[in-house]
Amino acid sequence: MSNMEKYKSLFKGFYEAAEKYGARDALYVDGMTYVYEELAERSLCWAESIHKANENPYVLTLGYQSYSNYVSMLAALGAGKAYVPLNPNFPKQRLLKTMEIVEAGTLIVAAEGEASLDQLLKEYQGTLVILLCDSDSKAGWEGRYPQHRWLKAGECKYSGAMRQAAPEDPAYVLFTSGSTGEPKGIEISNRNIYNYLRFILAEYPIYTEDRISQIFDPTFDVSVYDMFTGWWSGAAVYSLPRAQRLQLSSFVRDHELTCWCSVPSLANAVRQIRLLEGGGLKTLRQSVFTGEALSMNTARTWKKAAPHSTIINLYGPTEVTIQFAHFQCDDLDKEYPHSMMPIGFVFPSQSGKVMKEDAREAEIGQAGELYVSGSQVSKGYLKNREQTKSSFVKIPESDNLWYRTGDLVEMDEEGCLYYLGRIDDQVQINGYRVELQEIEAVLRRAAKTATAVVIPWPPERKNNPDSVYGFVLSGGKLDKKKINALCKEELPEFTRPADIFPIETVPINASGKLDRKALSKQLSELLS
Amino acid sequence: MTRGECREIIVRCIKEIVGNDDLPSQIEDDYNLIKAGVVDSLKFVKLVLLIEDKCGIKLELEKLSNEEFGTVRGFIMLLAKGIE
Repeated sequence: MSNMEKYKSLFKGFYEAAEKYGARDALYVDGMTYVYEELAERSLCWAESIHKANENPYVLTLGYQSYSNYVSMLAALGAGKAYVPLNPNFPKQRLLKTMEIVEAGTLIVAAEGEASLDQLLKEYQGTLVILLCDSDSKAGWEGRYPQHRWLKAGECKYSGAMRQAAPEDPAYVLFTSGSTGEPKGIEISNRNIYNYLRFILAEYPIYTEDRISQIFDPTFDVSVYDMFTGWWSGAAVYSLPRAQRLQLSSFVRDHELTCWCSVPSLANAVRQIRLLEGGGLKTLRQSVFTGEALSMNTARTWKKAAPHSTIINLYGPTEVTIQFAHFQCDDLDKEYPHSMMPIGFVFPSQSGKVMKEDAREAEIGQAGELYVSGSQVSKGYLKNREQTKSSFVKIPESDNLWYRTGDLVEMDEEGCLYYLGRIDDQVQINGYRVELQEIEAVLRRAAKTATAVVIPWPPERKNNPDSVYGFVLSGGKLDKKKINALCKEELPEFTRPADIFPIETVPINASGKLDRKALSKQLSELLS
Repeated sequence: MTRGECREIIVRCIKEIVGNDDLPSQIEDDYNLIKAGVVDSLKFVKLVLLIEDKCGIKLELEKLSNEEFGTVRGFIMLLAKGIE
């Protein structure tokens, strides 16, 4: 690192803000507000016990959207360790698999996680130190599971010590579904996240007066953006309850939020039931969209509701620490390719390359896979050397390791990147290579809609289908004749949808992204 | 349309979107679909669109308080209001 003297761990950045702004609001959750001093003291108190518990660097945090869950993550970091979030709403087998891969030494459980804890411990083979955040008594637990060591939050003692993790120490481990069905653990170091925050806060500063939304689940790395851009800056982080997501307008208004961050799908859902009416989000000064492609239609609708807000599109996979490319769209009337907002420019601290299949760099305007290298790139997948080797690679004329994003992009003369789709979503029909995203872009234009999805048929040959079908987001009836005519103008015959169906909503999966599988199932029902 | 008829339509739509398995046998007026976890954002949007489609009206969801949002009572109120 070039600026070693400036390095701080993820926790240290929070701690420094807490020292400076102790009496300011740090967190709003469950109808209560907590100031920095309280949040820092509580987490350091738990951190002390966690630090003493064992040498193991990983701490599981079981909970969801509660004060105790936020403190759990901070406490793990305050102990100089990494947190590994477990969402009690996830399927039990998925949680167990995560626990088995991580082999953590400690588990912190908030009240809402206790029901799952019982189920998990019945099957989990490892030995843990378990900290109960909200339980008055641990006797029952000790009796049932004596192989683990049990602690109560009330027993933790604050010593005032602040432990700073070293740059290469892990800060968090998040899991993503692997193509084989085995989840992949991505380990992000304090150095990775320090480099990310240093850039993002310089480019899009957060101020002590700001009130920031916190919507993303801790198992999704954008939650780290929500929490720590706020906590490094002395701002207040507002946890939007899951049940209140569709009422985001009243939440923003009631709490006078100034900064927003969500997936575009949420904005779309709210727009469909007309809860995103003009001007309702007046207090917002900055809106960040991330996690999936942002259509210009969505951006424009949002801007109408939030007239004083900038619109920022951030792009990146978990492996490269939250995001590594950004685009601030100031001219929303401008037409961009495929009616999608560009994913923009690679952070100047990182390097991106568009690579063709022959491992040579693509020319300007040529499609290729986006590779990225730099201080934000993770070292790889936890205890999964094979996957690491195939995704983190060497390329000619470079000594660095490059992460293959699997995303198909093109770059313009100015270095601005445009997202085209997944490289593994490519299909071949009659031997012709077809990008589903290309068909979708045409459908969107033809049907004048924000979302169009193309599903290959039959589903068991999705990479080598006979035809494709289109789903178009639409409130009423489709003018199929007109859409087909427009498709005919832009698409070669074999890429034209065999039929087009209107859908009223776009199915979304657990990680908040478009659920192609659900649409594929729907298609099977329609065609049966 | 009487309040009872409005209620009947709402309950039928809820059953269509959620399915009987996840619902209590007796659906009370203050039953909150979102808090009960039987609908996510997506299903909620579907439900709203289904009711609007069946009754040919637009539900003014912004008129509901936080307590009413997502409840059977809230839907009945909006539907009765929309039909007036």
